[in-house]
Amino acid sequence: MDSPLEIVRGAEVAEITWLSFRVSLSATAIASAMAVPAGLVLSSKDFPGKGKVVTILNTLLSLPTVTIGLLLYLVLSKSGPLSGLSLLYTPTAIIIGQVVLALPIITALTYAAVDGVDERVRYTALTLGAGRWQAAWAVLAEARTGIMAGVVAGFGRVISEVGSVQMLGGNIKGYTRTFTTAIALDTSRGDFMRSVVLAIILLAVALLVNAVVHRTLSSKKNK
Amino acid sequence: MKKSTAVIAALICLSALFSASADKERVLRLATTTSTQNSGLLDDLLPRFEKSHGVKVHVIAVGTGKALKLGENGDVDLVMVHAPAAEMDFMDSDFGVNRRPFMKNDFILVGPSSDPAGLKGSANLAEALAKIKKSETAQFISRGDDSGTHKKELELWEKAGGKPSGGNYLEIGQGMGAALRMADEKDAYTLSDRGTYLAMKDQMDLAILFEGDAGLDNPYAVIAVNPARYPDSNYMDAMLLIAWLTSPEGQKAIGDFRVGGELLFHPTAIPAK
Amino acid sequence: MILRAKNIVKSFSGVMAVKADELGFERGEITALVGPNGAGKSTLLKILALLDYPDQGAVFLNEKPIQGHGSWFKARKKITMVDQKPFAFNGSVNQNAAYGLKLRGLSATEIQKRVDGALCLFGLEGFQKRRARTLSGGEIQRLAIARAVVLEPDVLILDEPTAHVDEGKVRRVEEVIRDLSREKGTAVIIATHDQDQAVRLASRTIRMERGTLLDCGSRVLAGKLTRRDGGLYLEVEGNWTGPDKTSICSLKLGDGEIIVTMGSECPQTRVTIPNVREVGPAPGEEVTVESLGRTAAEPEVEEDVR
Repeated sequence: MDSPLEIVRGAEVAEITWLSFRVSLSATAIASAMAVPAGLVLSSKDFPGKGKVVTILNTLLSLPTVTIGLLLYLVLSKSGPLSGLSLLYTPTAIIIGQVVLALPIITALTYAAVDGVDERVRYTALTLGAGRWQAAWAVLAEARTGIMAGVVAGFGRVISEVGSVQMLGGNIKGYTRTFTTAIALDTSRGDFMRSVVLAIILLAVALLVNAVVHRTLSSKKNK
Repeated sequence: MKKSTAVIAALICLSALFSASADKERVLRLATTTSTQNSGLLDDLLPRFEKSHGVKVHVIAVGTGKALKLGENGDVDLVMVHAPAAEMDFMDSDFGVNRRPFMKNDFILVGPSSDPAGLKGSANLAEALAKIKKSETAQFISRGDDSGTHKKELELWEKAGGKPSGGNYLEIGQGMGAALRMADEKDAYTLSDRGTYLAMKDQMDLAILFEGDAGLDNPYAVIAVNPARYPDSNYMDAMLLIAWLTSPEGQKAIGDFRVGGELLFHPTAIPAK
Repeated sequence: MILRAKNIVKSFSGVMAVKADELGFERGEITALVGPNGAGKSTLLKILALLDYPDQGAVFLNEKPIQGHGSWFKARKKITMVDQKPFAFNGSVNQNAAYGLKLRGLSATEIQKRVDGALCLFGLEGFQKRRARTLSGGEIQRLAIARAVVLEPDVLILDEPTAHVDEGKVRRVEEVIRDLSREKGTAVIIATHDQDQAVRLASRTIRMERGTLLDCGSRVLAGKLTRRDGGLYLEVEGNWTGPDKTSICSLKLGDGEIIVTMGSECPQTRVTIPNVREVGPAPGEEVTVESLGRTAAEPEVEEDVR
């Protein structure tokens, strides 16, 4: 069996780390770009059926990841409506699954964060001459800690996700193999050393992301 | 005085009860591969053995690599696997004793019915594999999970002079079902055990493109965990199961087992007359 | 007139909150809005500050009606309001004070120059790097006013601007407001509970009760009370122009204050005169107004009314 150091130096671990990071980061970025405005609109606009939307959103939070994996599998597979795109078993498929997973959590936490912001933020920004978007930005800036918590939670959910990643990505070595599917595989074939090494790297990546976010927030100068 | 005597007597009775029940329930832990479990073979065999010998068998169905690992760690009493090379390593390292091959099934090469690499009608296994390798478009799905099937596949490629290159060889680290499903989705080739393929073929467009070569034999063996290494293991019952599987009664049960009318496993412990 | 409101009606769930037929504000004028809690002052101010839409009527800036979304946002750059509950953005004192200037796209050095000046005016020069939320309520309120004043708006609306400011700093804030109005020609509208503050600052007082407006004239009262020749006289400083120019009906001596009744629609304005007991006759006695409408020089008796 390889020593932990050799495992870390091996090309496959670097590949897995890079893929996991890239896929989860893009999924979080894409999901955030949709979910943060959605959360903002949800908390600042009243419309009929809003209560139901919030309830559905909170339900989606506890949706098992394999359910999403299954649904997207059926959509993307040979017999599905989007079979022509040949996305199944590609990193793009993983990203799609992760975006769907991260959307509700980031939306719900953004909604909660923005909802908790004092309404005087908007008024104050407006009266100081802010335009519509500038005022919205001021509200977002006030809610940034909560929103970042949502984004980090979204990232945490997708990078630790295994069910849908396995189903949609197919765990193809050097192509769609991520931390979680690699750990699951190594455990199933009894290579515990590599599982542990990968788990430690996964933890380190999570720690790094959280540290960077914390740093950015606490030293953030601009509103 | 009298009271304490009664308490002690009660305690003795209780402990006797417990030891008696432990005696009654003999448990044997068997690590095996998913192929035997999923085909339903064990569900057919084990109740017969349990009934006639009063031993309860706990089945842990994992990949061959993990099954051997469990044996190595003494987490089970015996293993039932199909990877001769890995089994020999296991024996050589004194993790196991009394290895007995007892049945076999066979592997098949499956792929899209359009068969872009033209496997159909290959004269022998080497030719079939060479065709996959030579084709620029044909992809091959490898289990990549250290399972018996995966080990077998690697062995076959080695004999055929190497795997297909780069992007046409996809290691997916998943079970046979997932590999077949992916081959179906991607119109790719893969090596499958016959049992899993038969169970799934109705949902897929995959066809058997090459079969019947002696090189595709898939022999199963049972190995008892070395009792010298793990004195607490249930060695006696492990040997009892090995004996039963290789007995005329056990062999006949294997030979009678059918899935959808098809024979999946051929008994091999007793040479044909 | 820089700001004008016409035929404004605003109600909340059927209850009328504000009704103002005609209301105008001149450049360089400080107008005090007084009245009890719940009279609709804050609602009116929000409408004037373009933070709330009236149900009916319109607000005019430079005699042009503010209509449509774009013109609302544009007009808000000229009209700034400071809320009665002091509020600071989550950021440093400096960032707070610079917020409006940044929106106006000024250069960094220009912003810093103006911010430094404004913070100095309000006694906040030592707090630039502090997180604004760690300031006291009074400091935050001063910061909020500084944040508005630094923009040099055409109209500055202040809702209870010194409610949280410590006693010692109130005069300083008032001075800055007065200077702004005088030097930059800013029209200041200030809602206050503090009658004395209204007197000190405003050249005009508008009284609000149950949503309706009562214009009480250009200056409440500033003058001195003296006893002469056996009579009690109130000498008024400045010009007195009520809505109908001659609307003072009577002056009555109350308990420690003089109650001025003007016209039929403007019931009473109370002016506290500290030494009224020493000078004046018994409460309830009528006094005459002698020098009404005359411009007096500096008041002879300090602290009489001012």
